[in-house]
Amino acid sequence: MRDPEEMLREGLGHLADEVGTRVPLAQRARAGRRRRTRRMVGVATAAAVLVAAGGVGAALHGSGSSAAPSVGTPTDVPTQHSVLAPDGYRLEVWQNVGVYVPVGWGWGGAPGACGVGPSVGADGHRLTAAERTDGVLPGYVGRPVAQTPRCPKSATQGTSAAMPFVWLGAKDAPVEANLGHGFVVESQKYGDTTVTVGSSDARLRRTILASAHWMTGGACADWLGTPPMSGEQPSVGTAGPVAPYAMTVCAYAPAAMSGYQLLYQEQLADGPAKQLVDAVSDAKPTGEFSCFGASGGEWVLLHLTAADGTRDYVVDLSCPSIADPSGLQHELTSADVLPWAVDGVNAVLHGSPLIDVPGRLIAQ
Amino acid sequence: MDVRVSARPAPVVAPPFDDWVAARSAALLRFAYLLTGSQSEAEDAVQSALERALARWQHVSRVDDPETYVRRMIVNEHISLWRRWRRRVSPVAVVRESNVVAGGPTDPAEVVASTDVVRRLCAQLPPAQRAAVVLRFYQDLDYREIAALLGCAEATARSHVHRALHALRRELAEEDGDA
Repeated sequence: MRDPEEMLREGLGHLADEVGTRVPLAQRARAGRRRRTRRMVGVATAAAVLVAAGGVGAALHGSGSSAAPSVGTPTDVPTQHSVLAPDGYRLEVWQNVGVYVPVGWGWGGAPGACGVGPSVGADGHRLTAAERTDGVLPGYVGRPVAQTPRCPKSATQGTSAAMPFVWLGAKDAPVEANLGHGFVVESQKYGDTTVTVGSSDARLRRTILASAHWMTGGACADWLGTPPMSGEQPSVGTAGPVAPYAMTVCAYAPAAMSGYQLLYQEQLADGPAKQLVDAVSDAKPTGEFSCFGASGGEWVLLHLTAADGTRDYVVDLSCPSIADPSGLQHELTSADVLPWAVDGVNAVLHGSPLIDVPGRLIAQ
Repeated sequence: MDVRVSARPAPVVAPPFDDWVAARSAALLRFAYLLTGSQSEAEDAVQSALERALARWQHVSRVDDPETYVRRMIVNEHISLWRRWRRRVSPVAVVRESNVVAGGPTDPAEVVASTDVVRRLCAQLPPAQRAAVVLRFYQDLDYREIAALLGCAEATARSHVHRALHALRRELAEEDGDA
């Protein structure tokens, strides 16, 4: 008879090798932690979100609010949004906090970025210096993200003081400050994230602040230890790929300490998703010149959803390429970029001068 | 202008947690799998332990051996889950494809056979006994360390292992008798 102790040592070693170890435990732990935290925050937060979701619509349609956007209704925005937001509002996400803002607002920087002020209009085009101050833009959403590799003076100067804004994740934002002429800035914290609203409309400020809520379980992790990876998770029981019906854009840049921080996320509808699939299938493989396994720089995860499962495309902007769900890298072309380089993503990514898409992802 | 400046936002959650998990997750999963005998239960146990470790990561990351700390959480999680759900859930051992390479230093058939004996033994053991066996013969911990991890007396830890070995000897003797 074999020695039982020796048998246990060997047998346990073999048994242990059976387990699958490619499990994203850190991400799952963070997601689980957020769910627990959200439960602890409790019914009060959930109620506030529900009230806000209803209140946002009321604020827009109801009282003739002066700060409610008079331009920029959904039809003014070319992007096909598929997120269910209250009428006239869209969802903006920073880290794991979501907030509803008027759909006609543009995008730009916030304290902590190299520039404070709008840089991109509601249709995703880069604003000229005149457009930043001429009062046409009804407001903007600012993130503490460097808007270009080098801060242009125009991005730090000339912003209209009266332009309403929402700053997401701004550092050292005032809890409440009256800037004169009725323009008030208010901040609230949600976990580690500060949401700051500046407007002369008290109701709009309240409405936006009250709409802030936790975002969990989406396609975009708020932090990644390594660059995102392409891949697919087809459902069982379907034959062949099916056209996607939605695409989530997750834009990442290196975080301050390590890893990659989610800068922006947006959900687009089937049109852009199908365009992307077609464009990538037409793009040439990168061939011998490949950046496979590269790290650093900016990345975009494009998460496509279809009836037969999900597929992830990954764009590496520092080594311009796009990996399809099989992992094959293709050259990044304008056609690959146009479907998703829309709206606020142009305000948070520097892009690459190699991508010749006028007005989109080009550093100015 | 009345300006009240808010406190500076807390720094981003320390990335070393993710780095640490990336480096240790395979070992933790193997350990949890031996405790639970199930891939899904192992993942759940490790994830649950890591969630709690994450909440106190500033503290956990500073202890001498974070891995021991997390392993203790995994053991406790498994034992408490078993107490809560025993008799309601009957895990069925999943027979996996063997990783043994033919022609290796040990007879593959013998390895498969002895691994199955260990698998059956583990499946029969109560969770505390099973944990003691894993800690003793997989982690190579001494009885003092096992007792500390299980939160029991050293004599109890010895008893757990002794009973498991006795069960294994009995099973092996029966097999020899059958042969």
